Amino acid sequence: MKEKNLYDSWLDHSLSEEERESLQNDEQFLVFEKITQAAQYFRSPELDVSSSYDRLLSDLESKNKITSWRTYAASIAAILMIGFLTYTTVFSEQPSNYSSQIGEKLAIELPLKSRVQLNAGASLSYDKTIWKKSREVTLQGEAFFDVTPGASFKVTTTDAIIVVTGTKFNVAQHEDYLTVACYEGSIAVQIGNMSYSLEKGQQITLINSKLEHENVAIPNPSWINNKSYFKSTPLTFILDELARQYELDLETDSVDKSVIFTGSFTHENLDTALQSISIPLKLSYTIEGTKVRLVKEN
Amino acid sequence: MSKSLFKNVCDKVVFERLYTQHAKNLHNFLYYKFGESINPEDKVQDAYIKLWEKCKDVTIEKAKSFLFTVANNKTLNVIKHNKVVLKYNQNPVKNYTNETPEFLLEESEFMHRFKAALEGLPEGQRIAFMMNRVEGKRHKEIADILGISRKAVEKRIYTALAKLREQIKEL
Repeated sequence: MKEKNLYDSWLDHSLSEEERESLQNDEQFLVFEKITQAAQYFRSPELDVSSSYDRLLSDLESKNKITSWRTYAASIAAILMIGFLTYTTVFSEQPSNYSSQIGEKLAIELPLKSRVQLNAGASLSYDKTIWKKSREVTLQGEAFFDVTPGASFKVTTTDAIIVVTGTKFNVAQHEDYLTVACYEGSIAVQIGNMSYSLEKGQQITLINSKLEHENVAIPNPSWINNKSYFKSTPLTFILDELARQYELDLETDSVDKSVIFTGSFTHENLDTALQSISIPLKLSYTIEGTKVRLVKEN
Repeated sequence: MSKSLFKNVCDKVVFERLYTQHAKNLHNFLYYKFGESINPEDKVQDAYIKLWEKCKDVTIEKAKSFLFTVANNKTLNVIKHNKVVLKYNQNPVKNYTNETPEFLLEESEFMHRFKAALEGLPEGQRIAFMMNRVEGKRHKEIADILGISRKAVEKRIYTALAKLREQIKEL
């Protein structure tokens, strides 16, 4: 009976040292200890709570996307369709196209003295013939606009239409990623069927269909000064930008690209840039020619 | 204090706290119950996504049992009762290099039998046994996680232990 109690305490992890001593020669106890030893080999794999929680959050965000995304897509498709039809029937002249290569930045002078700077891997087109009546450009990638006052100036991207009169603003449009920041005056941003107005120093981001308002303190977008700055952005978009700034072939198999990153990297030195990204995220990297491999540090 | 402020789990802070509190236990519960093939982590995520979708209807007190029920049901939907396979980890160790070959042989034979015996236990017993013996949880704690009485937990662990001993005894 006494022994039964001892076993109960042992099983409830409340056995005292002396009690344990007294069981030391008990054959059955030794068998139980051996079973306990053996059971350790079948321990459940460790769940990394914090990283799995981050993954959950990004899953939840992409779930929200499904409903809102479809409505966006439908309206964008409709706009594009109407635009395309009008365009092909009314105008026959090709629009002017500009695009910047990987690692290249481009400054463009638009008619009537408006200026655009294209970040690496961006393209912009507009139609000269109707410029006097309507200033409209289409943008893919990132660009900083300095628009002279006048009739309305319109920038169309995949996710948004931005309308301004005369001001400075920056637009970055990549897949599932949009930021619009206003550096002077005010601008109106239309996303789907919602309209937002931004004043100087305000920014709007739409990442994986999640909309966020932020403030920007600097007078120019950071990329103008050869630096890419990101705030709470999933790693995948940072790596996309890296691949636009540097000619490279990125390999990231083991890396969780949904982790959130805040920080910046330079456009002037690949090694420094990779360090800025990999150190805070505990990654390590190797460079062989244009091949860059990012791996999780152990 | 903060407890009474929130009636449901729609608040991000509450939701995150529920994650840190229960995710690991839920994960291990699923692992010990169904084995490794069902990918327990995915089921944990599914359950929390469901909780978030239904956050208005679930009180904080009910959240834990909601999560366990959802994860359990989701898993049952996927498997058509596969045989449970637990993974033998090479790592949690003891260095055997100094042992004689005979000893190694016996040992591997033992582990083989032990694995089969463990996989053959009824789910409830295996869960309680593993939480107790491997994770060092006390009876009360396990009773809270599983939502059963302390007595029932004791009984499960004891029965599991007795069965395992029975099945490895012949060696």
